Amino acid sequence: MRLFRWLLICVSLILAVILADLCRAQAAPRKPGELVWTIGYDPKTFDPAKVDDQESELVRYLTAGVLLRFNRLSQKVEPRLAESWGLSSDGRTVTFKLRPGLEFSDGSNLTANDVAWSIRRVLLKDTGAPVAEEFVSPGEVTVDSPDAGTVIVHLPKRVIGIGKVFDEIAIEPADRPSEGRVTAGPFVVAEYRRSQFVRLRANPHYAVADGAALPYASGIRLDVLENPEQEVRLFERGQYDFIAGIPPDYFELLKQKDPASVRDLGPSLNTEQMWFNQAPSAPIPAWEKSWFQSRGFRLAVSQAIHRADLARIAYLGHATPAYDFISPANEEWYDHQISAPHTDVAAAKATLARAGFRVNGVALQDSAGHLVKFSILTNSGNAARMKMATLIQQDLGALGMQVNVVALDFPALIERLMHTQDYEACLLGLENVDPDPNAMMNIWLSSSPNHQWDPSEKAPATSWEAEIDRAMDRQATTMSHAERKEAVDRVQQIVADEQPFIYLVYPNVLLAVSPHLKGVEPAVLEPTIAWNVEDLRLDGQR
Amino acid sequence: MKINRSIAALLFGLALIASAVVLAPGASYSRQERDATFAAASRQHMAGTDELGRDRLVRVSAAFLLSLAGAIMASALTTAAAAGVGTLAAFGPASVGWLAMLVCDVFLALPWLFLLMMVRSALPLTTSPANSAAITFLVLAALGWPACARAVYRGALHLKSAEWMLHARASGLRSAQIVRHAIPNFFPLLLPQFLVCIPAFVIAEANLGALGLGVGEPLPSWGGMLLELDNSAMLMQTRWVYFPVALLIVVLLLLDAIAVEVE
Amino acid sequence: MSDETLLRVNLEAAYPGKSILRDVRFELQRGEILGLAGTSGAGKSTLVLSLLGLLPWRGGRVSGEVELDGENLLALNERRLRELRGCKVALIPQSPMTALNSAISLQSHFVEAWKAHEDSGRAALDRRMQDLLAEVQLPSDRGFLRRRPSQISVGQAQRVLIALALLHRPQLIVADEPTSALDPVTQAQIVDLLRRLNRRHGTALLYVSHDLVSVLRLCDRVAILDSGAIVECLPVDALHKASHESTRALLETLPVPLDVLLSFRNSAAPEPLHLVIAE
Repeated sequence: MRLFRWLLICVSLILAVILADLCRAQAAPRKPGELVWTIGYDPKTFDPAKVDDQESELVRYLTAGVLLRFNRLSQKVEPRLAESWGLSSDGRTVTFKLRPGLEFSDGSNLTANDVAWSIRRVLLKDTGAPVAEEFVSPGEVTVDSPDAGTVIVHLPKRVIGIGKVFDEIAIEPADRPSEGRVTAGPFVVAEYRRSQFVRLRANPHYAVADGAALPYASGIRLDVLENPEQEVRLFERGQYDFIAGIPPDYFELLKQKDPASVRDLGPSLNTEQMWFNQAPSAPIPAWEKSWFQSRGFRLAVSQAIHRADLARIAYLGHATPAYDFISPANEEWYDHQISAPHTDVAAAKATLARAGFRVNGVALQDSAGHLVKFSILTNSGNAARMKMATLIQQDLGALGMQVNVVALDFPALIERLMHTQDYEACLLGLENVDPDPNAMMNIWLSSSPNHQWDPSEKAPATSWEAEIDRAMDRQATTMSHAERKEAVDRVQQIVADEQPFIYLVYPNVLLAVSPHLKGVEPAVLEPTIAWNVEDLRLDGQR
Repeated sequence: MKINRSIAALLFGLALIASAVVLAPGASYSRQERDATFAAASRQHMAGTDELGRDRLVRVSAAFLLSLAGAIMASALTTAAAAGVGTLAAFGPASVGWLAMLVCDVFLALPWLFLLMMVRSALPLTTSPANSAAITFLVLAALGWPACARAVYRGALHLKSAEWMLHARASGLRSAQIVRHAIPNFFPLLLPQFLVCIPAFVIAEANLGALGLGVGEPLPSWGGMLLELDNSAMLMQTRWVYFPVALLIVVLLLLDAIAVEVE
Repeated sequence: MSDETLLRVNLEAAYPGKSILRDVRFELQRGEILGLAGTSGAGKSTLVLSLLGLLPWRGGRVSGEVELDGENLLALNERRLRELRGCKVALIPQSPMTALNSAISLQSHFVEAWKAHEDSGRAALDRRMQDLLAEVQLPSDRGFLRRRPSQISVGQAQRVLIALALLHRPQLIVADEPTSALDPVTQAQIVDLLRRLNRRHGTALLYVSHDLVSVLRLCDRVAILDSGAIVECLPVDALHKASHESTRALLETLPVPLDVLLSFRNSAAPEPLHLVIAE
């Protein structure tokens, strides 16, 4: 009977899936005192100088001994291997005084020589360290170690937020780079099984804190797992100690079962935004370009979008409506005075009418009679973006705009954004790791290839883009913090007025934390929970 | 093989009900009632609403009609193409047959999912949801014929060595006469192919939709609805999310049962 | 070759890599019924296909001569061969059910076979069919003719095939085991029918069979085919003188002694036969 065969196939498939799930859902056994959580993919490298991806960066954060650490909670730079540090008045000389009696994890002494060697290694072109770029011209930086406890770094030009740069430079034994096996940080890499886990063990010679033998945990296992479904299940069984960045629907699921196990820290530094393609060379009709280059058009779109609905429906309430590229979580730089267009459909219609658009029946037309019809591109596989796009589709439909939502796989999307520029509008997110707006230079400078709405402009296409360029330059060169703040505020206001990016929401930082995990002080900045990894410990541990 | 009329009637009845639901005054598969997301079943929304507050019953009905119509058309195309290629391969010179089957094998070996993604990303972005749905099914048809053609080829080879053909030649019939009389013999060969392809395409579209390819928003598709089942968090919200799957299984079983073997 | 010789055969046949017929030589007189007996696997079916020039359709190859009425069929092109097939030489195939196209009606079979060799209209065909169907003792009403091959019995199907073979009054009919698929009663009826037709129309018949009983009942002479060669050819009456071992082996399989069978053959001719002989 064919019918039975069908059913048989269905049933056996389901069984196979369940079985496969059960097999995979076996995490490795936990060692005593070991913390366990997951990483989404295999770290690309364990060499701290070559880190370029998020998971490698996490391993570096957990293992590397650094001169200075950027405190993710207070958002201040704190000395670590350095006992103290100072910046000369011209901002071009950084002097570090090392703590006395520092040792690497193998027991050997850590001296200024090792520090100077590690910094020079990062600066060397051959190393190819991504962090070198933060020195602006790394080739001209020189490093001296006048005595065993002092290191002096000479910069050719002042670098904004130079202290934070040293948060990313691991100090390694001179001439003995070990890919994290010998470190001066809280942990060292002990074992790596491809696509299974990375195991770290505590550094017995870690002596940064005074008194207490830190870290508390005897080790860490980072399981490679990218399936949120399984991650949540294993978390519930106590196999994982926390989940950083849990999707909103799973957050709700866990919340229903145990409200104490989840935390919503409010808006993250990340933004979700949409923008229109304003590139003059884009292979789209000229009249569409003129819409997209029209401030009124962009403003009307921004006014028509119900951001509260996006946050409530697409993120189940775990996002915050966004009108600015700087998140309110970024207290130092967020401009509370900014005046941004808010949701107002009537105002949006008026704005469109002023810009020469008119409604014919239910459809919107431009002054030349072209139907206003365009597509919003987003990446496939991101449920929240897809929902936002569909909601926006209806919001803009209320203005008479006919919107297509197209989901493409990431490579195809990037191809269109970066190379062919064959798209009309795009909805994507931006992850901000660094709260300092200087890190967003590459987005705001009109000459940058990452200036998404019109990349790599030869000269600023509009006066407001020219003004953004000037303001960004000013914040990067001025010595005065107040002037920097003023320049960044100005950029925020221009962006709110011109809407080159139409900001939609700040996704909230969502965490799940086991009640057995102690010492948790979650921060909005990455790594949200592991930032104070020295203090994390399981119940019953000292 | 012939059509089981009562099951065909049942399926047709389902299609009629679905059409009535979709065409009912006030019904809309895309209207978002944003204050009533994941609503429970009520008089207004008989199967509740989805995560964007859209009527689930209307969406499932529309998806059912779209998938069925698309799959039937794609299946007809595939079967026609397969009939052409399979017959040509079987009755043409041996080299043509060899070549045609080689092409089939190459097609079968193609990473079709990758191909579909390429086609999808090469489409103009302004392609309307309806057109993209049509193109999706066309592409499915274009990729589906080789398996079908192989079956037709085997059947046609069998036919080629059939006793009646030899007897027809022995009676001095012209080749044209023989071919003309061979055609009705293909129907029992093609009908099962046609009927088998329909559920296959329905499933293929559902798979594509589950990957975010396939039919574009706000047009509902079975695949898009199956996406809802992807996470257990969603399943907690309402049992109605199982409704599209349940209907899909019923329709697949009906489609499967519609072709019954005689004897 | 005398005027009385209708068919003279001297051929070899092979499938790729496998020789089937090595040395097949025999003659057939006008109006004669020649039996061709042999065990299965002796090459009987290959011989039938070779005679009609159909072996290439099955991937085989024939060399030698098949001289029908002075014309060597094997030297003809397909176009000319087609004109002869069904017109001058016809085939009664082995399995009646598969030899008819199950997708078309009986009527269509006759129409197509008619059109293959005749330009004259439907009226002529209708008249011819009336005669033929009566002759093979089949109903000739529309209802019957509208049936599909699957809707008639095996015996009826074999009669339809005989009628089709006779349609264009061929000089020679090759019957390839025409009774093997039939029950004994129908077998006997078909054998009698063939014999009657032969007597009435003088159609020569090459009767190929492994069933020596029916061969003895029907044929004037018997040729024995063994592993691809005609090993012996002699009148039925002289069969007891057979010398070749395979002939003897065949004879030994007979359920009844040979002389009993032969006496039955001479006495049990059915009624119509006498009439025909009386003509």
